[in-house]
Amino acid sequence: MSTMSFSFVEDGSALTGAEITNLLRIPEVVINDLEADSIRRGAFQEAHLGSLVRLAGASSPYVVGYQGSHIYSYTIFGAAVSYTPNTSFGANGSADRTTIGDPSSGGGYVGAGGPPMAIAFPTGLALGMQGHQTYQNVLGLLLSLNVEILDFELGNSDTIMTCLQFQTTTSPFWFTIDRSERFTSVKDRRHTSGGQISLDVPTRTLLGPDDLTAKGLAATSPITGVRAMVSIVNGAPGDSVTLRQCCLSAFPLHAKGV
Amino acid sequence: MAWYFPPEPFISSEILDIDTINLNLAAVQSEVGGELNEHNFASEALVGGEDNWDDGIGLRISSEPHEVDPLDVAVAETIQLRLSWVPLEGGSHVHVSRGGKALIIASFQISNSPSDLFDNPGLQFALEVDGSVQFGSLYGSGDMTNDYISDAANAIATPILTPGTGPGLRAKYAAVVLETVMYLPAGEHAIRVVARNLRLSSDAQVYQVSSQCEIIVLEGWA
Repeated sequence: MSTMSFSFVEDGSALTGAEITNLLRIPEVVINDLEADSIRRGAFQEAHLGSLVRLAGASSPYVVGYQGSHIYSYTIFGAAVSYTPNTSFGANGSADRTTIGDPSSGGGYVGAGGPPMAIAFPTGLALGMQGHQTYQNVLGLLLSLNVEILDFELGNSDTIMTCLQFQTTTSPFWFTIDRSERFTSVKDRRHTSGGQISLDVPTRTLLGPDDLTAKGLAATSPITGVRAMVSIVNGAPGDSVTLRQCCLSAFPLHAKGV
Repeated sequence: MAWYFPPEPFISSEILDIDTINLNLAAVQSEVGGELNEHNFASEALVGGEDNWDDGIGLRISSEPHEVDPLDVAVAETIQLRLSWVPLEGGSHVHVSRGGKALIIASFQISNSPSDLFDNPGLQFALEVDGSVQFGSLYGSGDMTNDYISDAANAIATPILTPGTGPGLRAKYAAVVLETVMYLPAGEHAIRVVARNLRLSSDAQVYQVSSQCEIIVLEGWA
């Protein structure tokens, strides 16, 4: 910040137009070059959050994919889309998992599908506060996923896996955020005999440049999309799981990492 | 600019006094020199569309991810449950605060140890900050009538995935998110995820497994 060097007009001095202009110019210069130490602690509160989340979606700074009324029904056709314990952890793409609501991404659907649980950043969103370029001044993406498991028809399998993936402009593949893989047991969790389960599976994670380098990508690779995946652990032909009330949110945050 | 400027406005036909002029301008000096507050900024104009602000203004973030395959028992991290709170392995993080209100999030996976499938209803989890459990983040009832044991699970013919579950936290596999909002004074803060089991009849250790724990702190410090 520019140093505030304020020289008062002494009593008895001539108060000229030049003196008054000078008195006003001093704060003008400073106020146009504010830095962090110009602001009193506690100045910002929740009303300012909208300014701290970068505009990165088509219509809202809070990029949210909410599919409240859709029922996603998903059927495992065979081992090709079945999660295998101890070998599938962190697997990329859709070979052993499929996008919620997207019939074209692995697996197959019975009953109603729905809009894919995916959020696109068409022009790319670089993470890590890489300078002050418009649209890229984002530290990371706070991702929030809630999946409601409504019902299931499973043979020997018991466990549903959900996870988050991202894609960049530098690769056609979708990469799994390994730590976002969540497993949920469903058998014997029905409320009543033959009833549904309505289990919520929550996941929160902060996607940052380290996640790109962990996958062999440049830390500067712009993110073009995130999506939510689902699979059945040790799934078999005939198995199915019904999801509903899924919500995926991505908050691009202008912030400082500490 | 805040509402009190200028503190002594001039009125029409007033003879200007240099002391009053100095006083009015000194108010500007004082405000710009470290007294700017929420009255000086439009909520929608702070950062969005502007790129001249320092990265640290408004929001500071720290996080600590922890990636462990929940299905790989060879790398499982045990929760040595007691009647009192104990920390989860991999569930700790040090956040350096400049003083401000913070949103603290912990997202992780729990599962029953294969050898203790039926011994662990009554689980509770919470966030702990500087040794103080934040009960606003408490998750789990600790109620054995809620976290009941289903004998039907014994009949399932797939031992590796036998859940032995009730509707509560003691499912074979379950995902958990803990959240709390609190004021953090300036300085280092030790944040941990802690667990306890209120159903234990003694302080004997009973093992469960946690993994994938990620702690995220979003702090509005300015």
